[in-house]
Amino acid sequence: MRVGRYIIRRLLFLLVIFFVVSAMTFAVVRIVPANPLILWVGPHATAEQIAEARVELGLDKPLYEQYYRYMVSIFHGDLGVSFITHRPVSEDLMIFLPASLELVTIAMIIGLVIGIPLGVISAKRKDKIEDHSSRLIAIAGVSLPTFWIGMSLQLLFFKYIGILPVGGRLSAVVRVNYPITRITGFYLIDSLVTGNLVAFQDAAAHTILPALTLALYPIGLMARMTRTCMLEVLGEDYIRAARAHGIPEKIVTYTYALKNAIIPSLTTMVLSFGYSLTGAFLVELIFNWPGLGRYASKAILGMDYTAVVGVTLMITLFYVLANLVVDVAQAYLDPRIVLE
Amino acid sequence: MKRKAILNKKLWLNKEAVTKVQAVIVIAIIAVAAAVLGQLLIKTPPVEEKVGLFSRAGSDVWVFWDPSETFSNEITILNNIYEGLTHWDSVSGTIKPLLATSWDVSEDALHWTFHLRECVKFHCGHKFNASAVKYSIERNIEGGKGASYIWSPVDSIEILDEYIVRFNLKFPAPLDLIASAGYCSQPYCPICTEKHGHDWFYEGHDLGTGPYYVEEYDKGEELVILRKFDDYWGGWTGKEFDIVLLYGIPEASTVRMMIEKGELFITDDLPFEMVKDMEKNPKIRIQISPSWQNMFGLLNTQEPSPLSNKLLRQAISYAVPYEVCCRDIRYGYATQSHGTIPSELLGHSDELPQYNYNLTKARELLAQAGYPNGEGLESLFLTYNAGDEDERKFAEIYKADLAKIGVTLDIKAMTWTAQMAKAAASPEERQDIFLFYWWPDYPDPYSWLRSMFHSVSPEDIVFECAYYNNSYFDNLIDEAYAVTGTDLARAQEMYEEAQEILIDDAVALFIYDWTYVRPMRVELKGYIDNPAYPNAYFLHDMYWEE
Repeated sequence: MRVGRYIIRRLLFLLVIFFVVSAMTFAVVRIVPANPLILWVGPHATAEQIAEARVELGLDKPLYEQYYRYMVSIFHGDLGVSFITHRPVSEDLMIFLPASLELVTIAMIIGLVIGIPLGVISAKRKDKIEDHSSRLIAIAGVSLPTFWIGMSLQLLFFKYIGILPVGGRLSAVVRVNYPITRITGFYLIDSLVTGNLVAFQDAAAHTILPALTLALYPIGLMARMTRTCMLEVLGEDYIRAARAHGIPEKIVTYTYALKNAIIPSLTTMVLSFGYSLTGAFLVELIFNWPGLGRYASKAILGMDYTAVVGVTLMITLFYVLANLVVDVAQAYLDPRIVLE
Repeated sequence: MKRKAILNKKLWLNKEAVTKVQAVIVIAIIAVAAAVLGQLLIKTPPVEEKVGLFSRAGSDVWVFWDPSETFSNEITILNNIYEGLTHWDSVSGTIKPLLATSWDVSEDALHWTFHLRECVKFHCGHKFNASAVKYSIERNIEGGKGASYIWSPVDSIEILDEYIVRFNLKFPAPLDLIASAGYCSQPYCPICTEKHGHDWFYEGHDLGTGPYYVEEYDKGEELVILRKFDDYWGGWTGKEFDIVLLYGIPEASTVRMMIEKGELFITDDLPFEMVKDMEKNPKIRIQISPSWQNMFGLLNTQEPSPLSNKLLRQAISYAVPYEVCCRDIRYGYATQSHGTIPSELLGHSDELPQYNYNLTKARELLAQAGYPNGEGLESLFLTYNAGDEDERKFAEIYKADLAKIGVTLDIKAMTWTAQMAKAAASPEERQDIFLFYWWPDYPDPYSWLRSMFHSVSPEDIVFECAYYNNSYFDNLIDEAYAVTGTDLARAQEMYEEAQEILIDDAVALFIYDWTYVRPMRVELKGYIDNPAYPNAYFLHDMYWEE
């Protein structure tokens, strides 16, 4: 019951955050002097067309009235129409979000699967060659520029070895002959569910390089976080006690130590998920991946008010919900944490 | 015993935990390996259809789907789906028939009669005729969106016969040129437009008469798939592409690699350093052709800008290193402009005077303007479109040269929308120099002169960022536009005179005219650059030949 009340309270708080973020974003994008109507009406528009568009989009109204109208329409499920794509922002988000979610999820899984064992090995073999190698990988993963890694992988696997595609989500021939029936927008899932194995294999091949590029940061982050936490935990009394009781080292490491050391790593991972949704825009740009990051960056550059606010609200939602999930999960994993 | 039991239990748990982790790792590795191996081993079944792979630099391959609103990147393939009554032929430099087989004009250029092609079908199967022309153009005018203003001279449209249509104009205008425009000029099926409505187009549908129709539009992937229209009136030779994919790919290096691997056949734009590098590749051909796109620095001719002083404007016009700009910014793929109108277009003349790079002359004029060695002159403020490398390079080069004559230039990169907002602000807030490009909506010089230099009231400023106000010039270009349909020689004379006025008044820095540089696979044949339809592919003329 306590958890239920906690979740309800947090969700109500989400509404407050929603209002604050929407008001701030709305104000910030309008304060910057810009005329997005040029995008709306086209490159050589006449003064009359611009004036008509201003009225059509309600930009002739005072700012507070525009905000009021916007908030009312949000609660009717309408996020407005993008100045650039001329489509409802909610429709755009449904198009671009699954592509990003698919990529980021796979990158995070790679980050976990590689980063955590790397951190454990590092901690276990502190100051040995394994530790130094792991540190090198982690630092390289965190500090090497994404665009450099992305382009290097493209050159290596597409241009020179020629086994992986350079970008996009599907190759042209597969796109035409084996079109994926859209169910979730996740190509890997949709193709698998519909039994379209040629498309699945093609989509998987297209995911490898961008996911790997995007995973390098979480790998480094996980490895370093896990190492630090493991070292701390391995020095605890109960670990010493376990060892003194003759419990095999593997059990001590993976069952007793890792279970306690992994919580901060998982928290960081989940929180960075929300950030990665738009933060992945460089990877999306290089690999021609039609995701939310690319959409957001284009909206910001073009001062596409509605799209900027729409994306911000969507990310806010993800971020707050991710926080909530982490808090609840922590309480579940660690009985010492009490949700107030 | 008890301790051993606990230990055994833990061991069992541990084994399971480790097994689970291992299982996840193994599954992940197998999945990745399977995908890679699959890519290597499973050959995608051969396709018998001829597939064309095209790309447009940047994204947003299509913005305005309703044909009454078209005015953006859709030009790349729009004219394969929709066709106008006439077409500008860049090889002969004349207007050719397309959906109209011939046309007549009255002596006062107020009545234009078009004889339409028979046996033409829209992609929906309905018949193309005069009522379709009347319906489409009237719908475009009523909608008032996109490039529909090109039809502003039209007063009424009459159907004289099933295949004869007459346009009655409010004032004389070259309607044959207007009808050849790349945007908002093409008829579409009235029956299906009424049936489906505006939003239906935006789902990726079309109702044109062109050789290709839209099979699919993938909004996420920015991909348009076109398929050939079997009933096309122009017929098929069998060499053309059956299906064409047009991608919008924002990253230049990705486009380059795809062309080199043959995964793309052509692109409309790549950075010049990349193009220079690609010239060495025997599989790549670089096609170079003149364009109608040129770069200007519009000079603020109104108070309180210091450039309201004509002598100062002339002085800074002599400080532009024109040759260096063509060579270093465009890698030689540009020529210094002669006035505003590019070559191979009505109104262009190589005889028009040009400012050359002459700092001595610039210093003299600066002193005559009241600023010897730039003393007493406040900084000039230049805005350009952030992200445009050519504009950035020009601004930097120009800043250095102005400094040599004692003039300080402040440069500001702005988003296009912000740059436009500043240009339309109050006179005190406006820039001194507005860097940008122009290209025509249809092959007529009036587009440049009217859009940038005609006088307008302050609330109507859009591209008139020189804020030029000269009623003699206004009348001259309005009259030239009116006689274009009936007296080309007179129009040419008047347009030349108008440009001489602009050059003498130094209302802009006439920097350079672009040259189009298209990297493409050598196997791709039939591509011709048509400056009247910038960056457009005419797919019916193109094919692949090993």
